[in-house]
Amino acid sequence: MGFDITRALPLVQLQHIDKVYDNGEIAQKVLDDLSLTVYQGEYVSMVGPSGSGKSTLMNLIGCLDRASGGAYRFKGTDVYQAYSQEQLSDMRLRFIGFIFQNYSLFPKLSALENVMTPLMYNQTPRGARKAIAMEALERVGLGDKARNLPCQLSGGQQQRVAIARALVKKPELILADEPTGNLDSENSAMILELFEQLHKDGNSLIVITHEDQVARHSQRMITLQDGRVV
Amino acid sequence: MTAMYMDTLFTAVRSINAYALRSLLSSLGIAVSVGAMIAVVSVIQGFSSKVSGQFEGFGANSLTIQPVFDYQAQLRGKYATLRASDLDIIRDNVQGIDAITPEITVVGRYSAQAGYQGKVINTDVRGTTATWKELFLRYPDKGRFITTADDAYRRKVAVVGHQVVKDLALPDDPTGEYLQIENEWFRIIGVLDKRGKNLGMNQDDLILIPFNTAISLTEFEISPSFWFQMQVLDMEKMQAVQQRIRMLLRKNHGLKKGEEDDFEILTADQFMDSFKSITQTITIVLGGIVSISMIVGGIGIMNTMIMSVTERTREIGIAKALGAPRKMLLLQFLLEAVILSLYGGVTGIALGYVLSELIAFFAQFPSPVIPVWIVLFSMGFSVVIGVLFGFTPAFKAANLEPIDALKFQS
Ligand SMILES: Nc1ncnc2c1ncn2[C@@H]1O[C@H](COP(=O)(O)OP(=O)(O)OP(=O)(O)O)[C@@H](O)[C@H]1O
Ligand SMILES: [Mg+2]
Repeated sequence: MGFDITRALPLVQLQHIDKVYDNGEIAQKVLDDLSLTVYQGEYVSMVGPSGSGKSTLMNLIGCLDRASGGAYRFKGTDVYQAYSQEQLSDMRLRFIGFIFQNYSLFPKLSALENVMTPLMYNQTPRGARKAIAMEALERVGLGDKARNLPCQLSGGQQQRVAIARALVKKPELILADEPTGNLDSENSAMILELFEQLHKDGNSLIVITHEDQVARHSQRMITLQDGRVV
Repeated sequence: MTAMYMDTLFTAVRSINAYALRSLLSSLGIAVSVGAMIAVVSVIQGFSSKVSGQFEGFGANSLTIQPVFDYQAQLRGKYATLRASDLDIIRDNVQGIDAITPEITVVGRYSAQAGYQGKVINTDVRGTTATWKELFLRYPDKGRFITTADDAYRRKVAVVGHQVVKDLALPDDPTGEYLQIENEWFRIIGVLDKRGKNLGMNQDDLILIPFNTAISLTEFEISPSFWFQMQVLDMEKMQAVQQRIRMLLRKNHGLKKGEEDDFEILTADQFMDSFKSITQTITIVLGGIVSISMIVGGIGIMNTMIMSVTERTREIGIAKALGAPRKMLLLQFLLEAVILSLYGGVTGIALGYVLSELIAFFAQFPSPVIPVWIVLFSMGFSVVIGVLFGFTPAFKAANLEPIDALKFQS
């Protein structure tokens, strides 16, 4: 299933977003009147110099943080108006899969258990969890490492477990902040291929990167500079 | 919904197990508090059930009259005592009593010397009368008991306990043999039935001689270790009998109005009551101490939990990014604190059990009894402490802003 913009619905709508970091002494405007729309099924890459506000923007889209000004609509709902903190959490649980640059696994849980956690949060019946998680792990090629703890996996493998964990609840939007930043080209290629696959399956992806090779895989490239889309 | 609680419980148990040593150490405070409490309570209960058992056999209708031990007065050299005349006055003037029996300890309160064929032991030698056996329901195995005639004629005869037979290496049937008590020769007329130990006291390590013989043996006629007991025939009259005796004794002791009694009249019930009030006081004082040490233990757990929340801030951030429900995180950390505390409680119960057995064994106390209520109380208290001291860290964890938690640098 390809992407047809004429049919697609807006998934993420940012309107005149400001983000100010104020540590009491200096206030820094990191995002400045930023507007951006991402449609359902889109594969977007986000590039820009270091410090341009990419991670900040991703955290806003993922509802991990709030904007200082402007409106954010997710699937048409104004999240700042309509959602409480707990509803935001529920929204993350249902619709968003995060992949962070630094491996973000639970260190004391095995690969399989890490992938199972979102299924616990969304109360998938206990009996079904293992099979679903195993399927996700196999999808990232780590079926044989299910019992390994994160410290018993290579960096690339850890990142793939993190991807499996993001995929396992079948989120509508996958947010990845420099997912290949710490990986060699072989591992990077494997992950990009996975993203491509996810996109084909109809998922929406926003991938932050500073690597051209990664950006080239996406449909649309958004460039940030000084907190604005250029 | 219950599934969520199960999941949360599993998660909590897992993360406790992941830090097993730290968990063990942080629950140590609770374990020691509970252990001490269980040990003391079960030793006291051991005594208590033994004593209750004893008084059931002793009879509710018995009265004991003994001097009041006023330690202040004793320091000044004034000993409150009962007199031999008290006995006669009561016998002659109080109706409705029976088996009035004096007891006097010969030389020293606890021991006198007895010898046989060159062997000398310290034992408890008491002077008493024929009614002693009815009062205590102890009868001779062999031979006979002291008679009224023995007493009237101050005969030098003795009834011995089994331990004395053993310690002095007397023949199996020692009746007719002579033993020496405080340099006087006594003919053995009987051996008391075997009772074994009670409250750490050997009931068979005892020699009984006629009361009047004992008085003539003891140079001082009145002794602080002289008391008597009797049976009240009609329980209804218990109160009246006590009052009558009190009046007679006050008169005989020449006590003026306003002066306090220099004797006390005790019933089996009163013995039980005073014993109960002692154990109750100990329990309350102990409860106070334990509460304080439990709170200290709880602070230990809170400290561990706060440390653990700080340490796991990033993990909490990840969980939040994945959409972990706040309620679940709150519950997870609260449960961790409760489980740690309970863990301490259970360890404490085991510890207390072992400790009480050891104490009883080495101090030769009656075997300890662990009442169910103290076990339940310990568990309950542990849970309360866990909840109380788990709240702050759990809220701290649940209320972290996802972005702050994720960016947290330890
Ligand atoms: N919590 C914060 N408090 C204050 N300033 C912050 C905070 N987080 C980010 N910033 C600032 O916001 C700006 C944008 O940061 P951000 O992490 O979004 O950049 P980025 O585009 O992701 O950079 P990189 O490519 O290096 O990851 C930076 O100048 C940074 O110093
Ligand atoms: Mg960044």
